[in-house]
Amino acid sequence: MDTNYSPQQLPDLDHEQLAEFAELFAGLRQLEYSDHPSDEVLRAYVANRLLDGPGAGRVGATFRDERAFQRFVQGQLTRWTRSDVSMHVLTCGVCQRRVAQLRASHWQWLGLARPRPREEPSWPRRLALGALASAAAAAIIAVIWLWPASPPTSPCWIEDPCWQQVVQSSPLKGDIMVVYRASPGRF
Amino acid sequence: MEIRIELARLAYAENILRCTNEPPEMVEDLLSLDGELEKARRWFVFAEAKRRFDPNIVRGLLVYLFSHYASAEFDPRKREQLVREIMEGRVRMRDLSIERLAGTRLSWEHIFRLVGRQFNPTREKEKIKELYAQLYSSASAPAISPEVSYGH
Repeated sequence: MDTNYSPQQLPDLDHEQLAEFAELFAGLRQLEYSDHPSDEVLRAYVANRLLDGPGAGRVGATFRDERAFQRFVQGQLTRWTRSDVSMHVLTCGVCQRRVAQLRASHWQWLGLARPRPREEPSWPRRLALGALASAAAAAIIAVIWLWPASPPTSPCWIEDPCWQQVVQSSPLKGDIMVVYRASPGRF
Repeated sequence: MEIRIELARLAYAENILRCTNEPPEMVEDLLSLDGELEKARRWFVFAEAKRRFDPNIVRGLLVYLFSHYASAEFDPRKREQLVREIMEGRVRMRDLSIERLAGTRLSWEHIFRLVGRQFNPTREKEKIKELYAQLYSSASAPAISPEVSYGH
């Protein structure tokens, strides 16, 4: 993801058309403040935990009544709202540095807390593991199903059977069990 | 005092972005105490546009405006952090402030991501300008109806 600034990213047409609003910010300048928000307030602001008014979604307390507005205009805030802090930091060099530091540490903390993606094995390795697992499973199935039905190793030819196949009931595998018994007189 | 009223108007604009603003008719007197009613109306038209048009698109236009004009200085570090949060979907418009956006110079791609869909910025801007002319440049402009809800 490219996060670098490139002037080419800005569509000139729209940029031009919104430029008439630039004068609304023309009066902004650094101000001298005797009162600054505390570290706790700034931390809440950086973490998006500071509200505009009492309760989420409520209207901003700064404009709720004339008294609150007068306090804002005179810079005598009794309680910092999100807008109050934003306007203060926008025009206070000291608090801009404090917020930048808090954001950097907040960002670092978020980076540490973010889960790292697990390293996936390469596809040839996954293929080999899959083939190995399939072969092992096939071998186990073959042993379970074929071994009990096979006659014991014998020097006899099949045309000249020396074993008798006997079917019995089995407690282990279903209802029947196949066993081989030596033919009488062969051994 | 003038600068503090200027800041109050910006604080109101920020409240429009976060949908925590009072209706324009409730704050018109307060925000023009320095005689700059015209400046206050530039923000009021955004509040009114939010009531009449798609509120998220109007908010997107405000985000673009704040990120480009709230500070003359470009802040690449601040931009990098904000862009990453936007692209990872970890920030919403209600989390933003003018201070957070100042100097970040967001592109429309980032605005579309925040809004949740693409739109034509030129056309939306024209709609805002037309609304402004309708509300404030004509004597027969309709009054802003106070009963319209602000909840989004």
